[in-house]
Amino acid sequence: MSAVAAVTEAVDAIAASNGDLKAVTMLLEERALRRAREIDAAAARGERPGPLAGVPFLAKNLFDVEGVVTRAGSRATDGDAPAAADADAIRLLEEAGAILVGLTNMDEFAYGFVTQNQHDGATRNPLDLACIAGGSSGGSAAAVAAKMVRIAIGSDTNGSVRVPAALCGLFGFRPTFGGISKRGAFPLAYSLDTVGPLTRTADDLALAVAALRPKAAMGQRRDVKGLRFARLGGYFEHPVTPAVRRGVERVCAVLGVTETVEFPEPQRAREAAFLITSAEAGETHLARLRSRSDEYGDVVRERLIAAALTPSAWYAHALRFRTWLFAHLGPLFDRYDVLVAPTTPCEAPPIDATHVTIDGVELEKGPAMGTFTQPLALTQLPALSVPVFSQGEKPVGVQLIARWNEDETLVALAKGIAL
Amino acid sequence: MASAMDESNIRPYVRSTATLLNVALDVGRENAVVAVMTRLAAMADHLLAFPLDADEDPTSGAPA
Repeated sequence: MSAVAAVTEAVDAIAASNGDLKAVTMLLEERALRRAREIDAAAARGERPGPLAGVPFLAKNLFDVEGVVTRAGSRATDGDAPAAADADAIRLLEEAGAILVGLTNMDEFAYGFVTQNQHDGATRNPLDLACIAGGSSGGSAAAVAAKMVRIAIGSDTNGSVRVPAALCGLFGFRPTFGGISKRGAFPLAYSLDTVGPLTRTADDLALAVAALRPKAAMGQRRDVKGLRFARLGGYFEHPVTPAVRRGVERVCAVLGVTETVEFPEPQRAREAAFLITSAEAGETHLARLRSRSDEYGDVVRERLIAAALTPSAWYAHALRFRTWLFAHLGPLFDRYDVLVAPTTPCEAPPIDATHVTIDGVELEKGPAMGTFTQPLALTQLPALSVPVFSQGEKPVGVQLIARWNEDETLVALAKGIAL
Repeated sequence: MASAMDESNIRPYVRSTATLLNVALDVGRENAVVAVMTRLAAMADHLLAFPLDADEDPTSGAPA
């Protein structure tokens, strides 16, 4: 298929289902067709335009696109200067031949797990339209799950790629912190923010990660034979729904996981991630909150004002706790190469629900989605959410977590897991 | 620094810090912000109870 035909097909697919899904907030058809014609011309000349030649993709609307105002899911960015250049992640995918066709819905300023955006509407889960797609990269997840495109990119501060990937039945990848450039991505929390892809297949995941990590793609560990696995116990076992429990067990069975280990202080790791996010997001937004707070959505405005008031001692202690955690993760990875944990405690909950009840525990819907991703975000380790499907059930996600900078091990493992 | 989960401790902190930072708070908004801060304070209380020694130096760098 020509690149122009691929772009046209993606644009048609978006037009056909976006009214229901509210996954895409801006189409970039003219730019995409221009790029597609260049790729087709290069191919006609016998050139090789890259491993992703002519593959349309979408990006969360917090990524800079040259000439476009970076909205980050908000109206408080209206009137900002258009971006001077594409974000690095977009540039890297396009250097591999992929074609950006549009931008996707998200929680306002990426501060949430549900993509029920006050300005752009709630993104619906293509697998069950009554349910959320997860967040904050929910538009990207819904678009890939609905087969608008094969690849979309999002940002993951506390789980915002992995959570929607789990709820929509996709692979969702969080790299080692700093392992994929986040230049040109609107920040939420500088010391936690990462950029990663969402895909339906392990092959597309590998292509996207190779494009986004060009310097790491060569020479990284890819041999998955002899890897030592352990499942995270305790905090990571409750509360979970029966489907999530079965999903973790299926992945453990495929990988031959027999051992269970405890993650050091997971609840406090989550609290530290919350407080670091709060302090750093508050600093990012302080000037805008002073001058334009009425243009924020209600929920995120109050959250960010509180964030701006976070006492410095809370932040400093959270940073010191993170140092403690780094030191205690080292011995864990002396014994094991890859850890296994659920991504979310439940399948996609209804859009109109405010709470979920899991294992008899009632939890607020949004924060509940980050229960198992947020402690891991603090570690700066790479983590991949793998989809697990069961007949008659909504999909669940299972996280694989590797050592720092061993991202490609996770990508290689993904190919062996087709559930 | 605001401490403990008691809203009566949090509210004056929110008021004074908002003034210091020049962030506008009407009455309704103040209530919502106090609610968020109270939740953060509960997390901070639990985290601050975790003993750390001088070796836990955040400038020592991340393993990645």
